[in-house]
Amino acid sequence: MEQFCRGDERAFETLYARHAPPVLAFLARMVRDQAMAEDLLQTTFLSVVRARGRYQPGTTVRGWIFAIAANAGRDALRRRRARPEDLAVGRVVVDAVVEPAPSADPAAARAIEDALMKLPVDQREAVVLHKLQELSFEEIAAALGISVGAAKVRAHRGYQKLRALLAPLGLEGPS
Amino acid sequence: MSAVERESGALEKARAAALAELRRAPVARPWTRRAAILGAAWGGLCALIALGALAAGSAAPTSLATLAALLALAAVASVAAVAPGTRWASVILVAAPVTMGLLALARGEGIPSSTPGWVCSVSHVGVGLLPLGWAIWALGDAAWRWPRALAAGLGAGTAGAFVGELACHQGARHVLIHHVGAWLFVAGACVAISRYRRPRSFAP
Repeated sequence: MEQFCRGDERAFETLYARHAPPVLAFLARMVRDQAMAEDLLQTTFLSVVRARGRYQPGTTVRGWIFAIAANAGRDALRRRRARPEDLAVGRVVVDAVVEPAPSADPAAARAIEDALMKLPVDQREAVVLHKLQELSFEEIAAALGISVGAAKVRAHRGYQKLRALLAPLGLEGPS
Repeated sequence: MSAVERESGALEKARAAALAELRRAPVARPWTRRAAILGAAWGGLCALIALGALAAGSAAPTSLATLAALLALAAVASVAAVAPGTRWASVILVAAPVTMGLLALARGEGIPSSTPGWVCSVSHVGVGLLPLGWAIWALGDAAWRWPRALAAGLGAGTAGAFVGELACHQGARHVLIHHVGAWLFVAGACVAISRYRRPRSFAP
């Protein structure tokens, strides 16, 4: 990160190769619109370059980049005043881009993705970052600008809601 | 085009855009530099106002302590507006109401004036417009957070408060209604305007 802050292009390439694919997958799940997710990926990494002087040593680079992606995604959703039903339009394309949800059954994976979209944005962020991007609660807290306890509560409530949404379909949801 | 091709195309496009941005500005600018510029701009404007009031001979009898308190508030607010996180903004959200209360208390009965109160309110807001513009510009460096936006707005409003301290002689009630009210209006305008502007970066 220090080399990147000094303008080292190779350091940027390394950072980009490591973090861009998971960030794109995260954004695709957040906004459920492939074109928007791709735009947001660009916005995220432009922000990473422009704001690298704001990076605080001691915080994880991954958490910082996901924080930027989450902020950009939230802003885009707010501007579009997104509702889950509005987002269904981009679903087919996005399903092809994002990694499949952790389920062997494609129908179950689709049901989980649909249920995920029914969560409030803050809970969806916490669940996606924790379960699918495998960030620690410390990283999620840093990414979302909240306390570790609040991150756990958001994820917990998200999991509870997911279980409630998936139970009628005979699916257990994430543990 | 397959999903994999499309994804790699999107990744390549974003990489090229970010790399071009890196080449355009290879050296990272620390946020402290932006805070220093904002603080210097706000402080410089306050200094100009003070010089103008002294030159015009219209400076009201006021204590240096209240002017120093306003300058200190502006300095901390400039840091709060730009610093990552909202810790500094929390300091301003406590310090600003305390400063406002002390300014009103220090005024006491004041000296009655025939000038309508709205003149002071309009002057306070008018003087705050330029600092408000600087505040909104500085807030564009990061993702929007209401505590940071409010702290920036309160910082922008200190220039008007400076004018009030130097040019207005009226009592505590007038200060609370026409100056603190105008100050809060500037702060609210900063929150509202910055909310709808797209920032240059979404960094925390």
